[in-house]
Amino acid sequence: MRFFLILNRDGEIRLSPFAEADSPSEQGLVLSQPFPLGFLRDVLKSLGPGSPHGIDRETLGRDILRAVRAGSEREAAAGTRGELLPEWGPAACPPKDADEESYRDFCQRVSGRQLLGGDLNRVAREMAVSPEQVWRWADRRVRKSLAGWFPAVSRREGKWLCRRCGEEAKEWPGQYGPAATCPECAALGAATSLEVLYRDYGSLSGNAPANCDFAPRWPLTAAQSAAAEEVLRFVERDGEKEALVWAACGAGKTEMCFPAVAWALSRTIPVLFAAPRQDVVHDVAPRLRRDFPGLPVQVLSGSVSRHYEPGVLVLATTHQILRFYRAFGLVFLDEMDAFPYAGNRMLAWGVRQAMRPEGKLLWLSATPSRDVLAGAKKGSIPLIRLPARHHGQPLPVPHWERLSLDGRGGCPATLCEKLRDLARLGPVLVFVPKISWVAAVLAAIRRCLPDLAGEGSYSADPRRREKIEGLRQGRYRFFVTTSILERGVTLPGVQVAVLAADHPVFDERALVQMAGRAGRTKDCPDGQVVFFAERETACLKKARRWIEEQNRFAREEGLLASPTQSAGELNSSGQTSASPRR
Amino acid sequence: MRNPRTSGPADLIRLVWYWERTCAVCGAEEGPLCPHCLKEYFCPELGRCRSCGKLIPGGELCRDCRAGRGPVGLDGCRAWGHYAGLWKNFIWEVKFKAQPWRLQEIAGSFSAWACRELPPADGVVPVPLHSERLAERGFNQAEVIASLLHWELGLPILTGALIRTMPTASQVGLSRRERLHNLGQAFAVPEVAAVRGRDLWLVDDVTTTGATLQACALALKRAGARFVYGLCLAGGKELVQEED
Ligand SMILES: [Zn+2]
Ligand SMILES: [Zn+2]
Ligand SMILES: [Zn+2]
Repeated sequence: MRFFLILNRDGEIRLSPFAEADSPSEQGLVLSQPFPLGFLRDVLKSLGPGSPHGIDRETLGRDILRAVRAGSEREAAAGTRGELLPEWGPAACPPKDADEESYRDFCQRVSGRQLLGGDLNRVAREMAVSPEQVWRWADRRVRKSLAGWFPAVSRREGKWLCRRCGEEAKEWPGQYGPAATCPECAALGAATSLEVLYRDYGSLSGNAPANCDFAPRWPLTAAQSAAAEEVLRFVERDGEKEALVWAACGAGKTEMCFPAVAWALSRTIPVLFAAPRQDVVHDVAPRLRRDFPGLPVQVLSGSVSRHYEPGVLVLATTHQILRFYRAFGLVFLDEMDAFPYAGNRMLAWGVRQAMRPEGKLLWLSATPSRDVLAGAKKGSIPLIRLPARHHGQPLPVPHWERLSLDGRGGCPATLCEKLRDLARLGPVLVFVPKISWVAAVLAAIRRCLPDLAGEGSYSADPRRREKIEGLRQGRYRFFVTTSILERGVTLPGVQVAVLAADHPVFDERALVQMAGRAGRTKDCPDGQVVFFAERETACLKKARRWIEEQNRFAREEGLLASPTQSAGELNSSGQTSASPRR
Repeated sequence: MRNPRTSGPADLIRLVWYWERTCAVCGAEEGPLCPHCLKEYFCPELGRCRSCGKLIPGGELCRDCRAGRGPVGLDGCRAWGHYAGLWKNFIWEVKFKAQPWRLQEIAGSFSAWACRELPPADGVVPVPLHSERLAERGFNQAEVIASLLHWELGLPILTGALIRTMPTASQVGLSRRERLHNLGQAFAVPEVAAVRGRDLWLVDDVTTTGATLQACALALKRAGARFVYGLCLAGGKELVQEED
């Protein structure tokens, strides 16, 4: 969208996608030709803040025209453009606004967002109005200072920076001189220096229901209650902005956050729950809907068709965060260590930008990164721990078996015997480091153990869903896979074998996650975890130490059941403190 | 202004730049365009249909144009490469994966070729995108190509000389007649003085039927342009020249 430069009667300058005066009574001058917003801003900047035109509209007008000429001539060879250069003309009369109710609907949909032109057009489609109408409403909010227009990419300190994701943009020769496009966030629509970003300063909570019901369906365990209490205390108090929740795999960290969510919603503070992967987001949504009946929960991911609906509780994949601006007072970032989040500068920037300045951020992780953990140990970030699972049994501790593998399908007899032993205890998840190993290892195990049903899959496998369903139904005794199954799948009685556990793709976090598949259910609270590797590498040792440390901490806190105590007793003891405060 | 080919430091920089580049199209061989891609996609041995720009084995006109199915309003037209394979992929990625900077890699080769193929012009006119589509894509690839010609050849870009007045639905899957009908009214020249009596290069990324170029050319001609030549990065290729 190109912008017009409008000079109001009082000498005030306005940039708008419409060559119209503010009101029918107001008259103004407008440049006959529209330009990219960034270009016009540069022109105005070149006039300098202290230039002498003051309120003299004639002088100011002449200065602007001269600067625009200089700018566009410099860039697009002088001479033959004479007749094309902009002139001043009278600003048109603005049309009467469409109905106020639709405008209010628009405001609710875009509050707290930052949107590119393509996004605004999508808002128009979702509202079933014309794009022009939506741009007019957006401009109306800008005129009221409830929103702003910005070049999506602009030059700061000699670098092209993307205003949406903060990354550096790539330059190319444009018709108004150098232009740039951001390669990092292009998946959400291209941000370029010639296009605009609409930033809305409105609050998401403008449409929050007056009161929100929090009706947790299941009581929290003692461990969850203690952690939930700490999360709530962190959210309520002034001071630190970020905290880390270090939860054991399968300890139920999501539900533990709900009391804090209820606290925020009761104060109409908008809440965001973000995770890197779509399936996690879609897994959490029904649990939130279950415990917060009647509350609209907005889910944003690549697979939903409507993105611009009002809602004070938002669930989103991490990329979608880039479409929010100072919107949330409470943010939960799940699986912050998982791809693609770890070390992702763009998303870290996006999170900060999506939060209100006074907002609180909780990182949830089973395997926090070294940096975050070091920060927590130094005391710069509060650490909240959830070390025990609901059944009160310790996490299965992995052990190392010396074995060398080449992945070409050679499957030593010793391995097959070990796998047979494991399969006696329950279905075995066999993790391999590379997709190319899946078929070879599967074939080798089938050869050695022909009496056991087995299958294999990987992330891009077209039959993945169907095979995993078969696994859930207990059709297989062993299942060969890459790390796709490492998170989010709970199988009763499962045993874990990691082949080539010393392979560099398995860092200590992946190892902890894979080990965390075992012993998750109340009926089968333990399981074997075997790391097959030629050497016990530092990662292997570290993964084991992490798990042992969680168990030690849980024992110290009295969160592990004594052998005589049943899991049920533990649950009931946690019930009173599980209900939300107030 | 008559095609003043810039020389001096810019040429030197370009030389060094190209020296270090791999082939823009296949990314493997030495660039800016490796001999294999040059032969495969830019077919120096083939001619171009004078009327629609298509790559043809010989003669002046392609089969369609000889049968009167070609575009009208253009005084000449040239498509640089064959819209297929890796070259098609390159253009697709520039447009839909928002990578306009990659066009710089072929700027020198393309401008040099255009200079040889077309008569000189007073200015370059990019085929405009409707503002709605522009907002969605973030940039107009035809404008980027026009900018490259401007920087390489010093030709002025006639910004805003031609505008798109109506958003047209995607032309994919429509018959030629439907396309022409949709396009007939879609373009306008807001200031006649900008093009009157001028010789123009009309620039787009791809031409298939020539329908878009025709609609633009007719609008420019109505406003008094003297000659309008179409120029595209890619177009169709006619395999065998048959006698009808
Ligand atoms: Zn970006
Ligand atoms: Zn090549
Ligand atoms: Zn032809």
